[in-house]
Amino acid sequence: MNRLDHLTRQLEPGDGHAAHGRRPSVVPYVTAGDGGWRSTVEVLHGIEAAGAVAVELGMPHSDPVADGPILQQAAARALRSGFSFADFERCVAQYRSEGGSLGIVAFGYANVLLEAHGRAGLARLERAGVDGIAIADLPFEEASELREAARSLDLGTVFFAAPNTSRARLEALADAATGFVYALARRGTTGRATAIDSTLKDHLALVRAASSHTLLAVGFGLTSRADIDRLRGHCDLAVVGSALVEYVHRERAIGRDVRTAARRFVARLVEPAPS
Amino acid sequence: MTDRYFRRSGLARPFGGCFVAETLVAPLVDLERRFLEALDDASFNAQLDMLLRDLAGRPTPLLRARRLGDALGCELYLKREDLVHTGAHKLNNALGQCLLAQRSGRRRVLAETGAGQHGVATATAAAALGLECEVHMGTRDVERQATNVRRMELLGARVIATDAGDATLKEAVSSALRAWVDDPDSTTYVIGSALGPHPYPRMVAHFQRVIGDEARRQILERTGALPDVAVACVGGGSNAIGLFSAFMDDAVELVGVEAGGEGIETGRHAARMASGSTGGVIGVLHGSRSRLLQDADGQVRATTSISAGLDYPSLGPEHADLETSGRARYTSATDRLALEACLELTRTEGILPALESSHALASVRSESARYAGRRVLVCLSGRGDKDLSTIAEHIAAGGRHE
Repeated sequence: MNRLDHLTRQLEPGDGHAAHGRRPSVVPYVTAGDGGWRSTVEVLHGIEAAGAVAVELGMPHSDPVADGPILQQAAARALRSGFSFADFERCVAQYRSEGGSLGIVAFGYANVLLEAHGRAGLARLERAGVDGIAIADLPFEEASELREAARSLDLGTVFFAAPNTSRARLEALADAATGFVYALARRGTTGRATAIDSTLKDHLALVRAASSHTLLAVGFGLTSRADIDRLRGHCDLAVVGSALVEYVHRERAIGRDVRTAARRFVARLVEPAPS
Repeated sequence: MTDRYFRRSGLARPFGGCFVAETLVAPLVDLERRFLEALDDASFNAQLDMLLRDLAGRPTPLLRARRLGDALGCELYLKREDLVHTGAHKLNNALGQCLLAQRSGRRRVLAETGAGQHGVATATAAAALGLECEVHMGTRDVERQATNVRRMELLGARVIATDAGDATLKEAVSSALRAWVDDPDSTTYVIGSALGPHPYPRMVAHFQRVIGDEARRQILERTGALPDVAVACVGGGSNAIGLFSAFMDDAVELVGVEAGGEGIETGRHAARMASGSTGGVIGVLHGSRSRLLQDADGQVRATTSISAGLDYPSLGPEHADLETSGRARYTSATDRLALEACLELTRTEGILPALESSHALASVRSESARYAGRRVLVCLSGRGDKDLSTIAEHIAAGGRHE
């Protein structure tokens, strides 16, 4: 049992949700601290108001090697403003204290989420109201400390499946994932567009076969309602990151309300396109 | 993968590892397999030996630096890696990795570069082996090392400038890693120092070990004895690990010299280990766990050094391991002392050393009392032509200030 289990129960992975051709749930990604910690709390409320059930909340890192330019710049803006691990905690705790109920997956890199503060840091995140942990540069072989700490703290773990991940590794990483398996829609870094084609769908079928008990998320390069529609029946969760981060940043830059901006952007993704 | 790493690399936890995005796991497993096969492949080793001899110009000489040695009161030997083709030890490793890439059917190699030496070495190896080459470089280093940029372009390489962060070596590595994740099948990343995820630190140490093996043989032939001390500068630490590797089981003191920048006490330096309590603590950057200059939240700190090749916040995991075990000792030299050592070698021995290598010489000068009467081997990792404008600027600035 962990704090992402309610998500799993709600969405019924594997032969329930995806195989019956249901549309995946949208999981927005947000860089915490972009625009300041209070702005992030507002964005979380906006995402919840739009009808999403979970969010990936990115802890900024000075050297985000898996990210494309949009998320690199968002992290750099957050760090330039002095955003810290304690501010990340504060964002989550504040959002929870204001009644926020999104499932929150803390998303980031090994050095900031695991190395710097260790188990005590994970415990702080759990107390603040984080439900799961995803670390972009932590293959499951390096994750024994994370898995042990997450188990005792009831945090869900997320591991990644790449297009070139072998079948044997897919099974092992799906076993290690207590939150969900995150299938990378393509090679490369975040932000660049992804073609949702038969290659991707075959990849997702392989990952699904190896991880039928776990929720399957897909991300990297998903930007539009049509992208989500095309993933119908192929996964449980669809992550949209760079497109949302860029939209909210632009709206903030011209003085618009970020809660409204996030709600409007996510609501368009959550609703299927009119047929 | 991980369990095998800690066994094969010989490193005890916590250093090393393979902290990469899942997309790079399969290419790294494949790279490790190809590297281990090549170790025992007579035809690979024969081809590499030929390239090292005929293209790189190995073996490099060992010079008894009498005038400088007399001035410092020690018996000083310089391993002349500055005489390797393209001007630094970097070609030893670039040839090894590019040959591995070529024999594995890769079409293209990627490299990062700070001072430009590894970029030029990789562009050279790629040209000689018929590979496409893309070199990632921070925009600040592109400006500082314009001549090397032109050399790389003449050699047929594409130079990709990145203006993220401080726009130096750290960002160049990140940029190269991102490019590799884009195209892991037809491309190999040729990393320039003993850094990065497994198997890179071990592979780079292997290809650079030729420095130490030759020097050990040469000094034994010359003097009938081993050196008392072996000294090398440490950025990522490839020339140092290459030198140290040959003396690991000997009674030879091993000394690594980091960039002290404007002085450890100013906080503006790149001394991960030699800076004591203000220095690097254990952390993960660019795929491995080592000592890292970072803040309490794990954000990487900016570094400062006169020498672009030492201007990096972490260092190879083998060095962190050697420091922890006490087998090697790490110290630092400031920009000013490195510059003085550079000028002194030029005037006493007629050799203009790279500013990187000058840090190793500076430490021997600073610790001359400790080394009095002893046999000291210094790796002169590169030549200083690339640093002419930096040297001139600092002399001019020093002249105004003093």
